[in-house]
Amino acid sequence: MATPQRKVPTTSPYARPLYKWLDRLAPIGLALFMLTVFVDYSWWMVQSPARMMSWRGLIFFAIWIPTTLFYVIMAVKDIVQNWNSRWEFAGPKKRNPLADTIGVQKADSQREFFRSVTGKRYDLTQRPFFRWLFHRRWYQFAAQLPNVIIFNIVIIAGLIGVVNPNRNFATVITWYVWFGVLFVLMIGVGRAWCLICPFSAQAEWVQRLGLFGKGKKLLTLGLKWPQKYSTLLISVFFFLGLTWAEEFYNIAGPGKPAFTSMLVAGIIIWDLFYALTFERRSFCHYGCPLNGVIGVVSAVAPFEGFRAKDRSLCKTCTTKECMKGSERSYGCGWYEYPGSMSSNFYCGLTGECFKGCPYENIGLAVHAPLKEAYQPRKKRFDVAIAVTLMMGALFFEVINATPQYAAFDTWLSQTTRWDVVAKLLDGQVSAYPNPLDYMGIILLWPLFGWGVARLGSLLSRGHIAARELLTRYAYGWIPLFGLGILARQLPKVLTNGPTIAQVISDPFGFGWNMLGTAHLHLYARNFAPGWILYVQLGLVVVGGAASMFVTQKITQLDFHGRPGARAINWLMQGVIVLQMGLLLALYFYIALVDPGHPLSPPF
Amino acid sequence: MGTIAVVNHERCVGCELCTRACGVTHAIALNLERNWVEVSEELCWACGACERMCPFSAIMLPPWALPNKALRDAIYAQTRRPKKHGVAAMQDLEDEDEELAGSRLH
Ligand code: SF4
Ligand code: SF4
Ligand code: SF4
Ligand code: SF4
Repeated sequence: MATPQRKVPTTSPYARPLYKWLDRLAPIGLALFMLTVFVDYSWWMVQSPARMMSWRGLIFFAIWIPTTLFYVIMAVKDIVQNWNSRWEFAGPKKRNPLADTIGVQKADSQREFFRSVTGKRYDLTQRPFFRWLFHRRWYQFAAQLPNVIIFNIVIIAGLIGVVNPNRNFATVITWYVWFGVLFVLMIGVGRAWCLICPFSAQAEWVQRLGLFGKGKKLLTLGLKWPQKYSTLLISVFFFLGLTWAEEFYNIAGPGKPAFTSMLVAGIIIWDLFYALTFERRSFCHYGCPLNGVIGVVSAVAPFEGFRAKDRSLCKTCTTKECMKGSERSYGCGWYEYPGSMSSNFYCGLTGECFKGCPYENIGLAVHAPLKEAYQPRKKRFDVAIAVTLMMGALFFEVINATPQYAAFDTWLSQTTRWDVVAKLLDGQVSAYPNPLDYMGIILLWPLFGWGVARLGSLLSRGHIAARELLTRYAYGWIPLFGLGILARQLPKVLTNGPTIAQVISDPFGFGWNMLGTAHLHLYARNFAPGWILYVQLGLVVVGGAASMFVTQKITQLDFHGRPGARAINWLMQGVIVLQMGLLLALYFYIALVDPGHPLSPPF
Repeated sequence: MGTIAVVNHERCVGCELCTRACGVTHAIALNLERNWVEVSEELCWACGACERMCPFSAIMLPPWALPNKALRDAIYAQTRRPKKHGVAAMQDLEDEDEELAGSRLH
């Protein structure tokens, strides 16, 4: 249903000289920050001549100098070009009168598709501060830059730093901090990680030939991604591949930090390739291994993403600046149209639509969590399959810590001669994990989901297709998956996270002391006492309860009054309880059988 | 089986820009339930206007498609002069004005 348009202030509350200078100084400040980090690192590098004169120094400067130069030149270009741009907004264009007649009618004819379940929502863009912020062209850039710097250091640290993963910035940041932060961001905000993602940030800067300004030319072939391969499953397969490689090479520690570095650099180069070949953020849709996970888990978050406030106005808007871009903005990189968005799945929070819409018709609402999982009428089959596959991956990650699995895996590797191949590939001594059992365990979940859906279809006496049941109810698994995987990462983050205090002062393990915290011996175990298991179990229980709630809502909204709906609801609730119980039992069992790591799964 | 524009359902967001672009034969309509557009096989003459208009390249013609001008002219003629080239159903509308006949078609 069309939401009535709220009153939009006609002028910006911040149209004052102070803010003009803020607009100029913010990007300058960011560029200076980048330079400061570079100078600081170089200074410490020069201080240790033995390292500097070796190949380490060569790699260090070979990566730092060109990247810093690139960013600074780009920044200077953008700052000069935008010196007098105020990014202020003169006020919204007059509303098309047709919006109140034809527009309302058209929006109304899709009421079922745009259904909105009652409940409070609060539009952040009503606050002058957020309006001001989202209108800045440097809004996303300011969020990205620190992250880009951090991940550049990760690449360098992995290549030249010490091999001890706990003293190397690359491993500590990527696997002990980032992996935890990533899940917290997804569950808390949605695609907040994508807002600050360093991979696509750099690719996009190259593609747009600028850091934050709005240029006219793009550096890309602009090919269209083939229709046949337009599916989320590509990203999920990359995710599964990456998870396997991560286990095989033990990248997440205690493996070699160089693997982390190669992984990050690989993703960036690969992203760059996509950005130069295809239009917009094709990489995010059809390449990024994280896309599936982030998109799916975002459904838990209480943020709606940028979305049109009044759909009837969009129905009569012919210019569609939000999609196509305008003088002041790029068209949505994520292939989203605010006028028809019904979930936050693909909202990368870049805010381009907010800058572009001449009617100020974009809002960013906060509402009750979980709503994005059940409210959308549009539920996608490929997302459903993705959810089941990722659930399989989660269970694999938990099952692999049991001794029974270890024995089975070793046996399988010996029988299938995988151990020989693994040795050639420079994997782990035990050849773990065998791709056969890895895929086998993961595939159990889609099969299980499909079986349950078939059963549900039978319960409805064939009135509801199994495919529809799977598609809709798989969204109910999302909270359990999201919190379950957070629980999986938690021990690693809590037990090893504190080492960050050391590595930010001594990123390469060379004995530097940049911030004076190099000798703080914060040990992991101090932070992860016995209660960690209970936090894990608690997360799984909360996830399970949330999943049951979502499942209940899906039954109410999508299957209300359909034959067998009640029986199907019981079935689907049972499926959630079963998975939750299994996960709880596994976490508990792992903690029990592994005396080396009291009450926390081994890594 | 003619060559017609194909919609990428994963990508189409139902913005209806292509619907506006397809002004000659009105071959595109929005599916209200699914919020994606659908192309009518009888009406699409493969002109490619929609492909050029779609910001997200969600609608595309196969690369070998050539504009079928004969089809366009036939449809155009039908909607303009139902008396001469009208299909059977059109005959009933003979006395009514042209606009109505045109709107019947889509
Ligand atoms: S989808 Fe992947 S590459 Fe794109 S912004 Fe998100 S994390 Fe980065
Ligand atoms: S959000 Fe997009 S479609 Fe809607 S009014 Fe603004 S520019 Fe037009
Ligand atoms: S190719 Fe031309 S006739 Fe066919 S749907 Fe597109 S705009 Fe319409
Ligand atoms: S212009 Fe593209 S995205 Fe918009 S309705 Fe047409 S096919 Fe879909």
